Amino acid sequence: MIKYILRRAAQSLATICLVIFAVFMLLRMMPKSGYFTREDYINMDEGMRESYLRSLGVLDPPLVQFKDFIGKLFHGDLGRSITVYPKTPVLDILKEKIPYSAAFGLAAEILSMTVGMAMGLVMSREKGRWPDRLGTAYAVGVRAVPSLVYLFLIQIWVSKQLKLPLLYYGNRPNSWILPLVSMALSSIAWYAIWLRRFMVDEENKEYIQFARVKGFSKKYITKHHIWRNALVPIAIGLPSDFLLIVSGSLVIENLYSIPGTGGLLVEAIKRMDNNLVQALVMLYATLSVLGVFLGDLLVVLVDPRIKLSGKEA
Amino acid sequence: MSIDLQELPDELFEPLEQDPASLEMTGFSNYSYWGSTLRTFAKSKLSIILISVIGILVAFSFIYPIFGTDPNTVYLDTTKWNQKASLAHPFGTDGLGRDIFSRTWHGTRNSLMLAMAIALVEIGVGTIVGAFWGYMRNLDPIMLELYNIITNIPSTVYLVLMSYIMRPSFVSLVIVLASRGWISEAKFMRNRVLSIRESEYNIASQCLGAPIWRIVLKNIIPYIISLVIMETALTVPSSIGSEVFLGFVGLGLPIDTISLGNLVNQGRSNFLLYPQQLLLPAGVLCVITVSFYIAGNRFADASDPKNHV
Amino acid sequence: MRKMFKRFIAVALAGMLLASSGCSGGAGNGAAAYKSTFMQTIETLNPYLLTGNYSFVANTIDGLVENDRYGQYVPSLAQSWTSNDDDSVWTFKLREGLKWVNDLGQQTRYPVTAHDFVEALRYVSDPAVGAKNFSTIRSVISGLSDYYFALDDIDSGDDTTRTREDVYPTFDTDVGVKAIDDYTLEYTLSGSTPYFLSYLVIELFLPLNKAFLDTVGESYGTAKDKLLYNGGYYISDWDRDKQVIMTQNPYYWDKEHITVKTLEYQKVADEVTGLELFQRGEITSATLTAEQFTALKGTDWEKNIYLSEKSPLTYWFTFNYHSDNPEFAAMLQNVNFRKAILYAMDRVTLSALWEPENPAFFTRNTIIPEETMYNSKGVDYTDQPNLKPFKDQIPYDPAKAKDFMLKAIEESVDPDGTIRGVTPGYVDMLPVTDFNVDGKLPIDLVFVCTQDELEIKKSLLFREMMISALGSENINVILGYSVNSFSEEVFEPMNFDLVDDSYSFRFADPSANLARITTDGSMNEGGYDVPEYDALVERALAATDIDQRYELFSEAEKYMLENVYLMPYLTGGGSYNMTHEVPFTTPQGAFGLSKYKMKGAIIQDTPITAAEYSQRKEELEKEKASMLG
Repeated sequence: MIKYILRRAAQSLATICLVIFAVFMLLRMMPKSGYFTREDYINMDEGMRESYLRSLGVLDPPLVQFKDFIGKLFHGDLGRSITVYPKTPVLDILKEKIPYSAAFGLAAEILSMTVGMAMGLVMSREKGRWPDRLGTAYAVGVRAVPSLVYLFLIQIWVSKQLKLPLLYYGNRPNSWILPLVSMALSSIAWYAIWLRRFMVDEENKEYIQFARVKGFSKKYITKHHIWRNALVPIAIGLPSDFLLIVSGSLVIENLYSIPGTGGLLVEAIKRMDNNLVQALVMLYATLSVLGVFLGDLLVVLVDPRIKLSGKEA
Repeated sequence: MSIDLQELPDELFEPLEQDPASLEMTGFSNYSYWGSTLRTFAKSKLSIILISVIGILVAFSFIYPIFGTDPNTVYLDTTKWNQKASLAHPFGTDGLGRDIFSRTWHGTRNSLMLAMAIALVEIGVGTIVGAFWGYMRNLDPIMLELYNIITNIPSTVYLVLMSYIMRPSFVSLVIVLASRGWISEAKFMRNRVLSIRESEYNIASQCLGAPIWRIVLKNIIPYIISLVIMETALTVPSSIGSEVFLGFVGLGLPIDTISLGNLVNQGRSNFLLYPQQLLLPAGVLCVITVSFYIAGNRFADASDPKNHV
Repeated sequence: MRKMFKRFIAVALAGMLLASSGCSGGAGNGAAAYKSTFMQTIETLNPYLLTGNYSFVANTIDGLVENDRYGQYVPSLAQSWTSNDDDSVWTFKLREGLKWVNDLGQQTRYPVTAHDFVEALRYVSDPAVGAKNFSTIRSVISGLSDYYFALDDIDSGDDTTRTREDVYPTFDTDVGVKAIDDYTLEYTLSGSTPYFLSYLVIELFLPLNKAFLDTVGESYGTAKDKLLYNGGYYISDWDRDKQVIMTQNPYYWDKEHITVKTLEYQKVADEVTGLELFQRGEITSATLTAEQFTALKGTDWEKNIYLSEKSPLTYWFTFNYHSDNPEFAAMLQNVNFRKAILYAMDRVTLSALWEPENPAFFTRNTIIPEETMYNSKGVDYTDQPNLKPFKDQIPYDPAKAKDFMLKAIEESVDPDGTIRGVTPGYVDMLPVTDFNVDGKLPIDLVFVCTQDELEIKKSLLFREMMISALGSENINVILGYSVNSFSEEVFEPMNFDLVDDSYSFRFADPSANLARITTDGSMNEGGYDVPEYDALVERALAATDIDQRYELFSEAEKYMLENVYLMPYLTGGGSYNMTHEVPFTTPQGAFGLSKYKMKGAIIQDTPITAAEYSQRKEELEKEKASMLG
């Protein structure tokens, strides 16, 4: 087991390094004029453009830049943003932004898990009756309507009906409700629909019918037999979901003006802010590798039939 | 108690007529998987209605040009801009006087084709790879590594970088979305297969020495077919949703391509003023995605042998 | 020139008196906070790296001079100033005893002295700092440009004989800025510059305390505590991408004119949210889009919507004189072809995308904006005989356009429709577009813009205009869009036949724009070759008499407009607004940061009405006239 974990850890590290190197080199392959905004470009002449690029530190050969990057990384220095927030240390930016996204993401994740699972359970128990229909209608609605449309309607229209603030304010808790609910809407549906589906599928299986023949109550069967099996596919994604909350929600943060990490990566790539992109990619890649790893471990805990591939029989 | 068979009188027996056809009958029922699936599916009225709706919408999106309005005609006369719905323009006109009705149908056609293309590539590749992956232990390390690499590049990085490399177009969007999506589908299938492969009938097949390809094709794929169909049903609406989202970030289809995603994003900006410019195309979009979603679910139910009577 | 300066002072004093009397009346019932929104990310608060969001620096750091509400230059940190006879040496006497304030509103140990202005210039003239607008000021101060490029040559490795340390001392000896004592500052300029004051309101001339800079180093201006303040406000809160709160500076030299206690700005995603916030009473003022304006017509809000003033920003179309598209490149040499495009373009309809009510108001047909410079007789630069016909005449005329087109075709196209000197082939303008040209009519023209919604609409309208005026048998407009970076995809590889862009006007002399669009000028994106124009600009630059200078410049501008080397068509600014802020109480000025200052602002409880706005505007005009008269 420990040997397996160690091997996986080494593999994961290799994956992360590969991803970072790939992104690093891709960024360096982009044309240099991408570092300018349209306005900058017009306002500078040829000589100034050259010296501006030099001031950004992007004229050195890519491998030299990569060596510098790795060297600094070992000292805990992620460098400074170059175009999005000129000269601001990347670490400072992350420190300011991550708490917002993480707090909202965590709250939304917990909300959607509790509400979603409860909904899924009720729906499967009431299969074919109105709670199931209602839940299905909701899930279908959330999935079918483009999220932008209903998110926008929630912000403009629902906020007016409920007299809730239009934007997020740190000191007004009632302004946290709408973004939170908006974030949870689709994953509530996800949890509910999956749980219902699995519960229904499992109910038809022989081992359940056998349990029923043995005379166990429906409640007991649901709790001790179906529930555990239904959790397997949900468990595998759980750690990733929780770890990746730091990456924030692009649309919702934008609409409610939550100063989180949501749009940061897209903005950084568009403005070719190499240092910021590298730091973010490294962060997200690490968390996501870790998430997959933990997901696999969790599945083993939940489903004893699945064995880790490290232990060859 | 014993019966002396010899003593049974002949009148108790009736001679059976010779029927050559009955000689051919075997011990099996005449169960046909796909026949039962279709029968079960067709039993639900809703399914039929939804399939018809999809059919009509698809058909209409191809024949709308008979109405004769061109979706790209721009007017320099500002009074023709942002018109309300009328007989000439059933959905009104947009900020440049373009007819929203014809744009909606044009967009429907493009979006549907895009979504179908993505779904086919993604699910097709994903299912086959996933079935093998889940069954063959020695594939696992390689595939997992591949999965990790692909999914660990955050999707926004991937999409933005891809849009740098490839000019946004119909084909490039299919490639961008499907090249990321198939591995997730495969992983999903792999997880299902993982829990299936330990089942008794599988072990029996293995003991009997069935080759792997046979086990995958005969034992596993049919078993997860309901999941495949459901995933396809979900992929069409979610591909349309991805297209809308990418349009919002500025990485969608070329901006002069008419698609439901582009229409919705263009309608969004002046929603308060001209809600119909957003709501009407969005309505059509919703009808399509809802129909696909429900019909897909019904089909998944119908294709599950346990629901066959 | 001395006479003129005295008048400045007289006007300035009068202005101050008027402003103060105006404010004392309203200060009592003014709201304690001004609340507004911003949409563009605040990248930095480092004044020298700004590219937008000027309000924050404008209200927290003062420079030598500022504008009053009439647009006149009045003393700020400088109490008085003098210049020599040809306006090439300017001496400023600074206010004494001022200290920098930190983000807690406390006085620091750093005094505000003449050295801070010297250090600021030293800071921005180091290429490693990367001050993007440096080119605006580098040629006005003597020796500044040489110092910059001396350092730059060392960085680039072109100059290996010296080190940076060798060059540093030359700043004090060679660059024309000197602190004569703690409170006397002297600028030596490259030549006669009567309009030097208009430079001093630009952010690059704001002071910088060296001792403080040394403590924060590269992080200068990246957080609220990495910056010092000497203006009417200090930044008390900066929540990245969320909000900025500025609080009244208790140690401000002009404290009695700071009428609003806090200025609060919050980030919003778009105008939709901004308007909603305003209607719910959560913010003081909001900007409306054309569509929002139309929507509010007929509602109670209509009376509160007013149109703000035009800005000196000018939009113009640039032709690509080195286009990869041989059809367009061949035709562009023909002036009649350029004229055909000029007369086919309906700028009024394009303007209607922003201003549906009175679109003609926002058209601009000259390169230099109106109402920014006046000659000694008080004549607006654009009203000079050379430019007046252009200014007054909107050149849209489809019939004329067609005539020019036919003339151009007659001159440059063979009767069988083959464009002379064009080899058919494949045109690669990727990633924007690619296509094949057949060397025959219709002429292909590639118009490129961004994927912004209004830009797309503009491009579609432009195509429609060309085709309806010139005929689809003569012209074929291909539209292209940049996906990510406009400079990378369009400007640098020259992937366009025609683009349009906005060009700011940075100081009060025609050379600000006209000297930058010469053959070698940095704004000559299209790469035209105009020796006649270059000569005219050369001649105008040499003129020191203001009347003569303006006349020569107008002649040069006329040459550009007449030959349609570029096509100005719209002004910047001028949007629909609603506000609780009484109009025309705060500083106004065409250049620099003064116009962003909230000094003297009065906030009233009810939104101002459009009628009030125009009445106030009239009053202001009258006061201005009486002061000058």
